[in-house]
Amino acid sequence: MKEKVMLHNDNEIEIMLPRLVNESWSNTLMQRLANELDQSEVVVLNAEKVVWISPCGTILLADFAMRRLLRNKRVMIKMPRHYDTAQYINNSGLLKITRSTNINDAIDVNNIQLRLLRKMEPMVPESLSEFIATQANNVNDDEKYLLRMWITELLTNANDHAKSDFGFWVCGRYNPIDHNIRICVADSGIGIKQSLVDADKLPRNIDDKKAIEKALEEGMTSRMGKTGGLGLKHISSYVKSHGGSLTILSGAARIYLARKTKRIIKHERYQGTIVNVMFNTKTISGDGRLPIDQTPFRFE
Amino acid sequence: MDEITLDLEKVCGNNIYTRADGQILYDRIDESLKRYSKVIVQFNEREIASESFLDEAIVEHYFRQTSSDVTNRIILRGVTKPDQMLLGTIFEYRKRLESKEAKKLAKKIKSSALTASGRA
Repeated sequence: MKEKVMLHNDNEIEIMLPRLVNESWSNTLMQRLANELDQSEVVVLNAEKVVWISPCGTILLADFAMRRLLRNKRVMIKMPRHYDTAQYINNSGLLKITRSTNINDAIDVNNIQLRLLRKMEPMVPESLSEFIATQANNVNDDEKYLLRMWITELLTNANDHAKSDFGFWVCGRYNPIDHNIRICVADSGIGIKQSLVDADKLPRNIDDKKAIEKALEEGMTSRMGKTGGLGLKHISSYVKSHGGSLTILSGAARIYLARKTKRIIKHERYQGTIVNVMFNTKTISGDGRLPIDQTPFRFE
Repeated sequence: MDEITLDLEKVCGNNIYTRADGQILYDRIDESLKRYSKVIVQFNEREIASESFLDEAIVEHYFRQTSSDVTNRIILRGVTKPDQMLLGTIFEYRKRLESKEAKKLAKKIKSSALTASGRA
C-alpha cells in the first residue's frame, strides 16, 4: 500500500498509515519517519484506517515518538476506527508515548507489552511471555518456556552486543485472526556487522547482508576467544523446522527466514538491529531436545 | 566442611539472564571447587530459560575443567525439567563446536607442518 503524506494544516504534517502496519511496510514507514523526525511541525500519525499493528510497527512508531520527544517536538495519533486496534494503541502504551510532554513520563515501567529498556531488566521475559500466552489462550507450558527463552535470547543479544545509548525496545503481540505470536526486539546500536568486525570475526569490507548470514552460522559470536552460543541459530533452526519466521534487519540488509524460504532484501539503512520472530500457536511445539541422561550433569 | 550449597537466589538474585549474570555464578562455583570437594547449586525450581546464563554459569565448567572431576563434584539441585533439557542442548552444541574447532586446528597444524617439511 502506498503511504500518503499531506500537510494537514500549516502546523501539522500528516502521515497516513496503511491498514496493516507490519514488517512488509517497514521500509516505507522508516523512510517516512526518518524524513519527518526533525520537522518542527506536529507530526500526525493518521491511524484511522489501521486494523493491525505488528510489534515491529509498534516499535517503529514508539521509537519515532520518543526521538521526537527528545527533540522537544510533538507527535499525535489520530486513533483508528477499528476498536481492537484503538484498544491496542492505548493498552500497549503507544498512545501514552505520543501524548507525553516529558521523556521521563513517556514510558510506564509497569507496562508489559511494549518496553524501552536501558539494560536487561529482571522479569521482563517472564512477564511478556506470560502476557502473550494469556492472550493466545492455547499455549501450553512447554511452548511458554520456548517463548520466554526466545524473548530472553533476543533481549540479552541487544543488551550484550548493541552498545546503544538509547536502549532497546521489546514488544510482543498475539493475533487471534491468524493465531500468530510475534515478538520484536529492536536496538539502535552498532549493528551486527560492526559488532562482528570489532571482534575481529569479520573483515571490515563485508556488507550487512553477508554479516547477518554469518551471524546465523553455528558458533559465530562477537565474544573474544570463545565459542558462540546457540543464539539466533537456535531460533532460526526452530522456526525453519516448526513453521514461523525470523526476520533480521541490520544496517542496509534484511533477511527473512521461514520453513523453505530465505529472502534477502535490500532495505533502507537502519542504524542498529531489529529482530522479529513470528510463529503460529498451531504449529509450535516443545523442542525435540536430547535425553538428559546423555549429558554429564548431575541433577538431584 | 566437605560440601557447600550455593543458592541461586542468594548469589544472583533476579539477575539470571545475561552472560554477565552467569559469570557471577560461574565464579562462585569456581571458587567453591577450590575449597570444597562437592558444590551443590540450588536452583529451587526457579525457571531460568536463558541459554546465555546457563551456558556461562554452568556448561562452561564442563569445558574449561579447571578442577578435576567436575562432573561428579558439581550437583545441580532443583533444576526444572525444561532447564535440564536446555542445559543438555547447550552441552551437545558446545561439544559439537569444540570438536569442529579441534579438527580445524589439527588441519591447520598438519598443513603448516607439511609446508615446513617441504621447505626443509
